Amino acid sequence: MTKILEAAAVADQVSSAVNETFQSMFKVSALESSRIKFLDNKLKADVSGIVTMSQESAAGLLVISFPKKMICDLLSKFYGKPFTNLDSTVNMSVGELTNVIYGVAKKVMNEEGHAFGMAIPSIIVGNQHFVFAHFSGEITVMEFSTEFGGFQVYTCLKQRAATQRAA
Amino acid sequence: MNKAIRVLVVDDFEMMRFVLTKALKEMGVTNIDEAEHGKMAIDKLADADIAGNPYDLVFCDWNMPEATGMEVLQFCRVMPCYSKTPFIMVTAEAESQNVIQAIKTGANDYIVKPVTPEDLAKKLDKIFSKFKLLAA
Repeated sequence: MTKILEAAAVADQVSSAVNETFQSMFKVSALESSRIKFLDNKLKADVSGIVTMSQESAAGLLVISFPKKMICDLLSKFYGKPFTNLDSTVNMSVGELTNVIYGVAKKVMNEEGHAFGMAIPSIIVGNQHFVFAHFSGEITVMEFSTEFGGFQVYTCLKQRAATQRAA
Repeated sequence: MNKAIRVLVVDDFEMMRFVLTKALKEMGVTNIDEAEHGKMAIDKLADADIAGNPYDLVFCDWNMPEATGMEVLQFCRVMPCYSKTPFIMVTAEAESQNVIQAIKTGANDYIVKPVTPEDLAKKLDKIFSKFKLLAA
């Protein structure tokens, strides 16, 4: 059976992975400025990348949410051309960022024996979208700040019931 | 630099295709095709073979819809014209077991995302030298 990972430890690994990814890909610092329990229902940002974090004994989500202006400004610098709307390039880039950040966090967690599986990210677009409607566990939201503005990262992980353990 | 070499970049995310093609262009490579998923890559590889102009180098993501990077790799290794073609896995799947699996299946090298532009340039330089893809 895989080792059980506490929610705080997941958030720690994801937080490190966020900054590492931003530094590598954009040469931009993304520093965590706050971390609280998420008690609301709707995400306040405009576009989110979502990936399932799944292991034998637990399952959850990693969600990276960006305001439109912040992500457009960041990607304008990255691609060297202006973005002002959430077009397919911007949205897919959010998905890739989520994919890479999960990969970085997963590598460290799996080296410690947690055996998180691969996942393909999804993207949701639209102000105040719902993501956690069917999740009943604790959700952590971390606020990050960059020179282009802030964004949010949500993590949640809930132990599976014995009858739901993954094969 | 042998500018005539033909390169295929496979990734379902435009961001990574952009990073790779930009780095390749900065090395002087201009003949670069892109594929957005594994099946498209397999079709392009097959079409290039039929046209008598196969690819000389492939960069491929692992986790993709339609066909995975491993399936693209397996396809290459059973095709006579691609059995020895340098195939570089470019992926966020960084655990040692994934690297080992890719190498055992026939990948020649592995690039882990995220990669800085500087590290990518060094890696590409090493790959081009190793496989003698520079001008004769």
